[in-house]
Amino acid sequence: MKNKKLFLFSILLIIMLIAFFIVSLFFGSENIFLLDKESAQFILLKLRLPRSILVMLSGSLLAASGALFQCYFRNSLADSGIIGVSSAATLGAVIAEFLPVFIKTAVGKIVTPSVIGAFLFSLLCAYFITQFSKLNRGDKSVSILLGGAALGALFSALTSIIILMHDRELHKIYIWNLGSFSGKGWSELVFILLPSVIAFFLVFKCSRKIDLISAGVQSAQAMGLNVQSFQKLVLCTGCLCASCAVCCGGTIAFIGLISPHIIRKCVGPKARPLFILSCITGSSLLLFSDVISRTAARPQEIPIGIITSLIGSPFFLWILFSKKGTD
Amino acid sequence: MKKLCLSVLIIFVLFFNACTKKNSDLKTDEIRIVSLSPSITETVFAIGAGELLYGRTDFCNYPEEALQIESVGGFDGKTLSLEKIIALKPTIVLGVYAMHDFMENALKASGIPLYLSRVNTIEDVYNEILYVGQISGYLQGAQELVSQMKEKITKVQSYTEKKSAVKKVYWEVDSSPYISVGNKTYINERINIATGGQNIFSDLNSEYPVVSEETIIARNPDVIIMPVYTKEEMTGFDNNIHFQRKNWENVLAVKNDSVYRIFSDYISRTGPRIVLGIELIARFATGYECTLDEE
Repeated sequence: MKNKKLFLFSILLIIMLIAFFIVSLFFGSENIFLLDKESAQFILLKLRLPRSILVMLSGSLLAASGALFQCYFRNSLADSGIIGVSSAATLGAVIAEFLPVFIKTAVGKIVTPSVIGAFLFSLLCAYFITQFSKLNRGDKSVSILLGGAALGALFSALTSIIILMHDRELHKIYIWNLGSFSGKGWSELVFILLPSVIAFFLVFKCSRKIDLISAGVQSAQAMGLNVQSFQKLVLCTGCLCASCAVCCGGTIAFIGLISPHIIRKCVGPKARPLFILSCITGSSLLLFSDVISRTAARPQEIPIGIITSLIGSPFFLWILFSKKGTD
Repeated sequence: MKKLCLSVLIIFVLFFNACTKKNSDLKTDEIRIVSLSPSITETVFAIGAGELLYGRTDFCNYPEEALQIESVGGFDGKTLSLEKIIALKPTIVLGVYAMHDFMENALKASGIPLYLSRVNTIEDVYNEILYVGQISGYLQGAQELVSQMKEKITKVQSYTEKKSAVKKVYWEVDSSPYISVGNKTYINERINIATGGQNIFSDLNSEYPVVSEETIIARNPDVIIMPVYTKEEMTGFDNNIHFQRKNWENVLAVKNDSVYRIFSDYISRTGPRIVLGIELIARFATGYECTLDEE
């Protein structure tokens, strides 16, 4: 794709993101046009604004981790779910629920305990995965993926054990697994802001070198890339992105998988534009899904993961099998 | 070799005989109950039939006497030991619909009837208590219990009817995400009885809907009630907690310090203690006064 076309395409995506952002502010379970000015302002600024920003951030983080893993592993199925980070986050959130009450109230003053639990456990999972990279010399990225999948299964099993012993939490965990931003706001946003900024910086750093590896590890090594340290950097970055994303909204399916695919189909596999545009697409998709999740059955909220899969899958299939595009 | 085989066979037959004899030692009119539901266990004890209970689940923790009885596993079907249930030789197993149906055939094969509880409304609770009374031979105890419960409930209802300013109640199952109760749940019925129909989400048809924070704030409840799952989280019956939550400063319940905790077992166990749950909701929402005790 030529530069001018790429530029226009990017502008289009950004306009779409802004449009969805505005829609997400003005549409929700309450009709703010019918409320008095004070309440409308309150809902708009204190409830919807932080949530929309959080959703945007999570969407772009999910897409970033998906894009990074897909490029690095040269595997189109890779995303935060497949390397076990999502399952680890779920386990962390579940464990946080069963902490003693006094710890929960102390922690709760800063941010919801399950968010911290999820974040810590997904980082733990990330640590294990980077350790895997030490164990296997050379290019055995498939075994890292498989290792991640095995870790994911392990974490899921542990979660199941805890849930089986505490039946009444089942509904809550079920919703966590479907993903939801209900009741999330500034405090969660502040909590993930710094790690997210670091994550984005690292993604940017990776994007310079990742094109080298797309032609194969040997040729990348020949061009002077230190594969070992780069692998570690990629894993750390991707896991950090995923940790930030899943600790607030729960495990949200599909965004990390489809955003990079959509962009690759439209603008090609070059890493830098792929990463940036995937992030914007991820944000837009998740924002759009959040609006649907808040308004489709108001005043109820439908877990956002259901919406991302329900709308995402047909859209993705259409993109996947349409003949247009570069791939 | 032949001799050895024969003697082993004889020993085996004798052993088998001894085992089956034990079986026939059972008195034919003896009633042996295994309860797979915490609320039924409570009912069995409340009507005075505790001595007939031979098995319970890990979750049947009330009254204290229940803890002396052997457990057959967790509440959920998957964690129960069917073998243990059969080994206890019950004359009836009392379980819960949609949770214990799977063992119906296996129990039937052993000649053990399975009762599946489908309790939802308070009327169902009365009927179940009477049923348990009937099958255990403690019908009189059951009838007495039911009439006591009805009396207390009528008292609450007539008190609420007299009150003109009934308060709006928000029942918070959870806050992350916000989960409340819709009109299809028994909790909604309990709130209706206690407050005269003031659950702020009684317009929703789902049982446990995830609700929008902005709607909760816009509907501005006078009272917030949160179930807690251990008794330690409640301090006595008055559980006014000085509650703070970002952005909720202007919600009436928070402003007027009317956020309460309630021990979930008083509400979610569809047994004799629901009366206590209803009395507590009435106390929180309308200032109803009565002597509260767990019996």
